Amino acid sequence: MAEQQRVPLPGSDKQPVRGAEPIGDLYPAERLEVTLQLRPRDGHELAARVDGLAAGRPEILSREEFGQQFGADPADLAAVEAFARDNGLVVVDASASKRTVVLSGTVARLSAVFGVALAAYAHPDGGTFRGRQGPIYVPPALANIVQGVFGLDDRPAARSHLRRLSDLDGIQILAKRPRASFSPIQIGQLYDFPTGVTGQGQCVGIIELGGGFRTADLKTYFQQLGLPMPTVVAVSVDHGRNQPTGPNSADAEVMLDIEVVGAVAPGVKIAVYFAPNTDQGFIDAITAAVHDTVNRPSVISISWGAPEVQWTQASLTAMDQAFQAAAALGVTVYCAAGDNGASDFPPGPGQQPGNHADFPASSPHVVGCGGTTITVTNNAITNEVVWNDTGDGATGGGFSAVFPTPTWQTTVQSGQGGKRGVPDVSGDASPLTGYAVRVDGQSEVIGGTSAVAPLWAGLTALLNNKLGKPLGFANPVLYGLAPSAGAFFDITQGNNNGFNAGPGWDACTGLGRPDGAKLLAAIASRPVAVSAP
Amino acid sequence: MAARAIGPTHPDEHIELSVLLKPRRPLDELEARLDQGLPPLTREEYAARYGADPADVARVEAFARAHGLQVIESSPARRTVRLAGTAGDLAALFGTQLVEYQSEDGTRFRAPTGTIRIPDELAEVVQAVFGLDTRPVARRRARG
Repeated sequence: MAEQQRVPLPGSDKQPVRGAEPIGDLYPAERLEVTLQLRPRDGHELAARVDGLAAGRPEILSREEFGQQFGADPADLAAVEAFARDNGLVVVDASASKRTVVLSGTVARLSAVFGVALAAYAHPDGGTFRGRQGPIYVPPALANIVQGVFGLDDRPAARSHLRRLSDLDGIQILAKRPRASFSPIQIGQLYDFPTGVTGQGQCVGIIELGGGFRTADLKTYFQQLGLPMPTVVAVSVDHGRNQPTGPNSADAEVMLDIEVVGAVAPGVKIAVYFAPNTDQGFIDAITAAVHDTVNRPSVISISWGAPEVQWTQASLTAMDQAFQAAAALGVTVYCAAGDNGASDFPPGPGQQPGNHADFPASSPHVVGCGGTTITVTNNAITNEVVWNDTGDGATGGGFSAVFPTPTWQTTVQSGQGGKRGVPDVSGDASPLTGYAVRVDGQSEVIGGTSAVAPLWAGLTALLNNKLGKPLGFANPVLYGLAPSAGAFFDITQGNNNGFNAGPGWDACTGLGRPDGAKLLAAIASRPVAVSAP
Repeated sequence: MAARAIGPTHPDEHIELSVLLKPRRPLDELEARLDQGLPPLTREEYAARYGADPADVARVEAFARAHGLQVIESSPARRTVRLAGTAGDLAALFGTQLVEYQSEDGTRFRAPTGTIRIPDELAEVVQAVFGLDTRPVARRRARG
């Protein structure tokens, strides 16, 4: 590989992040993708055009006209691609109209080629990032062609943007210390999950609309729990991808979901479907998972949602139909019921009055998962109530404004204008009695109904393994179990700032939290439909 | 979420749409199956009965090509055809204008103005089109 003379790329000099501490070197064989921005053919004219557009004077060019006039010069593209190949980098994508070339290479190679020292840093606000200091270097012949190199470090937009988003999303580091924290294994023991099975042969699909995981963290986590590392595969949907940043980001969601499923059912394969956080991305991720003929998930866990009123009818219908397909295929889907009580809106601007069910948990074709708070003494639960940490999150739950009461639910509720009630089931969710997980190199205690969906998904993988066939469309089964079977421990105390818990089903904790062994026995002994389609 | 319009989407911007097709058979029939507690269908059986008709998929693909769009992938089981084109072409085809927004938290997104109009040639076979609107839709439910 040609070692050539290099010149600094103008404007690429990075100052250190104030207060950030270097942690150490990056793994040299880790692969990164970087995007090179190339100069346009006619930059001055382009600026004038864009100004005209922004001022509301759209003068539409055809794709071809635009590419010819403002795209990258093919000779420039060729020069960059040749440079990449000469230096052992892979050309992932080259686009004249976007004026970008995406290159892939290892940390070691990219560092050498661009003359940068990449290292891991701890951010003063928590979390880690890949950073560099000083300029990026390029060969003199490319200095005028390449306008920027992006992706060598991942500190800028991601951090502040995601942190602010996370405030909106309710992920925040609590000033309070948790009263207690539990590994997912301990929660499984407290809920008497079936033993002697690992979920072997089952695949659990997890939908993620952001964030990512690092395999090294998963290895450490499962090793610390004394468990084998489950097989985890990332599936890219609509260009979404496994993109870990730091612990205050959506990585917390991704890691919680994977670690809870894997700790409860270490024999499963976990397929994580990464998609953009748009209705298109969400819908495409669900249909990709449901109809995935490669991984064939028998259970799907979803911990992302929004109040029903925020969805378009087209999105609600498309997603519900995708869940109906899952039900017909024998795939069980669990969805978190929300973390903002009966309102389902985080307090602040944009909050809408009244109570709202969260979607997709309110789809009648999924199992909505609510939250509880547990008190544990001598390794046993001595009290369990509705999760409601006053002013700091409470389980979602209430009644859909869209979906009528399904037949299987009419036995337990018929109030509220004949609409579907949520949640269907529940489990420990309070961050104050949360789950000990590992996120981007840090130990965290995380809760939210986000934890309950993967908890039930893991439990279902165990049930499927024991029963030798999938639970499938779960709601008619769960609602059909005799209360005397004790499959659910009924939560009767507490409220979610809109609805009260009480004996039997309620709009805070549904049928209750699981008693795993009794649930297994009750499902195993129920009569099975044998009629042909 | 309060958001500010920044300007029209650049007509050359590359956009990928997911076109959701109508199912071959009415989904009420599928719901009745679920109500009766019948055993699950295989993925192949589902696709054959309740997926998109391959003829409908072909119709959407032909429409796309005739209008200079690229077909990225098609799945009868998912009832989905993914198409790519420029913002200018797609806005014209779906009878809308595309506008860029920035929300208070800095998130950039795009949204169409008014209602998306499904082209007449496709109205019979298309249920919905996603991807012109890139507003963030969901929040995660993990709390630390």
